[in-house]
Amino acid sequence: MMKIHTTQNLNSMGRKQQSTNNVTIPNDEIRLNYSEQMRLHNLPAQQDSYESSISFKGKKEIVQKVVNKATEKELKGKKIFLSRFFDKILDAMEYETCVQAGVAAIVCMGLRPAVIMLTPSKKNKKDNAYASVHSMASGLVSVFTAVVLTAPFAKGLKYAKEHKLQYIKKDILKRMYPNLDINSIGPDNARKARSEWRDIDGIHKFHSDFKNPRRIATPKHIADVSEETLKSIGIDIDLNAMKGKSVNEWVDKKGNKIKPELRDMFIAVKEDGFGTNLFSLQHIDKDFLAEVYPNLDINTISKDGKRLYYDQWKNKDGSKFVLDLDNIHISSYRETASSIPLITGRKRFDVKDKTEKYCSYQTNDEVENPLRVPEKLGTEIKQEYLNADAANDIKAKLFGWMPDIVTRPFMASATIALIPWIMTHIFHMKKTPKVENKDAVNSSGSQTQETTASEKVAAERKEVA
Amino acid sequence: MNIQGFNNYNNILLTKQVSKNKANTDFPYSNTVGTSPQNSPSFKRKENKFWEWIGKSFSKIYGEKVYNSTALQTLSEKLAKMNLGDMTTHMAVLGSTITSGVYVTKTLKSDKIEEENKPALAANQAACWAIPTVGAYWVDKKLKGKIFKKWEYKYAGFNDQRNAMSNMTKDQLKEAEKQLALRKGLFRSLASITVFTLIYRFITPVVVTPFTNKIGNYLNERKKSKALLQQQNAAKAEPIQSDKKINMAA
Repeated sequence: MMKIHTTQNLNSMGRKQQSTNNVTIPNDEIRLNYSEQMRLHNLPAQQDSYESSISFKGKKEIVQKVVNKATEKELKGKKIFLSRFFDKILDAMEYETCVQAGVAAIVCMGLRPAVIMLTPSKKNKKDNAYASVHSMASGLVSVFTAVVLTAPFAKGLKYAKEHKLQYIKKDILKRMYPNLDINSIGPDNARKARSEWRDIDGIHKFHSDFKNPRRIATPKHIADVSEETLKSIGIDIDLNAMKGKSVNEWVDKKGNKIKPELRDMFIAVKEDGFGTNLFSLQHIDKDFLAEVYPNLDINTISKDGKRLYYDQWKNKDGSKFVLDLDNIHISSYRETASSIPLITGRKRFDVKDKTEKYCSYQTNDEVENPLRVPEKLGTEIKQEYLNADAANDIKAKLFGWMPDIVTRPFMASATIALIPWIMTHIFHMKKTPKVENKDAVNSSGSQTQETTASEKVAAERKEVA
Repeated sequence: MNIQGFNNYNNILLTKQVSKNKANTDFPYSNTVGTSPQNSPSFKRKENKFWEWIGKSFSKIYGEKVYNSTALQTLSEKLAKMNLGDMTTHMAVLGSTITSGVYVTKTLKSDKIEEENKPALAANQAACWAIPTVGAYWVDKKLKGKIFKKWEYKYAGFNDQRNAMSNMTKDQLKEAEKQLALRKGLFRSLASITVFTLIYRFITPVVVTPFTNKIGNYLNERKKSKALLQQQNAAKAEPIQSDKKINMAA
């Protein structure tokens, strides 16, 4: 049976932290066994049902809480990543060959000439200038050929994917998107709009994207979130008045015990091979939950397909299930710019990495409030869907690059022929006449240096002679 | 849908929404999000008519044919099963291989380069392809696992937060999510393509080529000094015949 360890808040604060699987957990003392921690803190063992059910035989690992503390370091690069310029660059990546040519142009027309001009040369300055302009000319040729020869094909491929996908043969569509309910797309002579297509699970709308699963703000421990954040999830509380109290004792401004919604309550679970991960009590998989809380009667957590609030859950012995609120984490973008995929504990075997991974979910349901954890889950992203997506990716990339690959021999020859012409007729530059093998064949981007190599060979030959 | 006006969302300052109490003192978002025009999410502008026409035309003659081909679908599935890794980098390498192949062939067939120098030049060009290719794969692999993945998550997190904290309508949010999904998918490809291009177009000519030139020159020099030595030995043995050879060479 899979080993799962629940995390518990044992009120130990301000300790060293170590990073585990994108979250930070306190170390050393938290890895002491439960009773030892109780002794250290002189606390009575809590009467929580699941806590008392944890077996302390064998491996002992208790994680107090997951610390997700934003630091200045984490905010580095924010301006760049949120700039319109960066978005434009990413948009351009749909034309990979053009971006490659663009990067090459920046290198050949800026970086390399700068290095050539700054490098002390045994030759005269005119030769350095010639080499720089030569580099610029090669950059110019690569941009020109990429835009003229390959961009239209990439554009056509992109247009077909965006606008003509609904007209693709049914058998191919089925292979491209195994999650698609092929009967929902309509007959061949009257295909429905893509927005009307349905998912094979019969619940969701069809969604073709698997790379961008539903994410949530990385949850923070409830004791670390702000009053404002708690208010945004329906808990109107005076945190100053609650100082030093266990979260289990927290009351709102009206004196009622706090009752966060189930979807907002995350528990941190450490599982062998998976590290520590956070799960919403609303979405956590039933079987997974049963393993986390072995004493919980899993049949009592839902009624008529809807998950009940935890205070209605029962233990196997019929007693009331008690949840320790000191273990609860809250997800809100008010607290962090870090996000994680929403997971439930369901797993898939990743063919690529040859290991088990948690399943994530598509974003095919509209979110009522993006600041909150979604009420519903999207389509579960199964390995079968990811395999199909990998094939779709290969198809898009292979045939996006194909025009570039096919025209490469021509482009290489054209570069050799065009650069001397560009040098003479556009930049009005000529190499100093001492060069014998001026027309020596050059490799991509290294024309100058390889001409120099042939010059050297020629010079040596002279010397020998 | 009017998405232009939506860009003004940044006027809704998050300072109103973000708490100023203790929990946020170490998290200065109130000063960094939503207060600058550059923090507005950008959407794609209307495509210009010429490019739209190009897209439509090439979709008919190329795009739709690619997507509708059972053979190409089967090929893609077979390649996917082979678990080849990132196709962007492989295609960049394939392109570079073809280009270098052409240059090597042209060097070997050139009339303007002396026969004895051809192998050295061709080997130089081949080395200028092989060394950076291995280097680029290595650097890309190292950076992909550590830095690029981290940046991608950061990029997604910043955008998720911005989208969540802005007062977008459902349609605007849907559009923003769609754009983020597209861009996030392209993030790692951009990083890889930048690494490969920088290595091929900058590191190769600036570092690798001079290095291979030196090796080539050393080998040439050694070859020639050997030949010269042989000539001298031969001249000693047969002074008359070697004189004739030197005269011919001159």
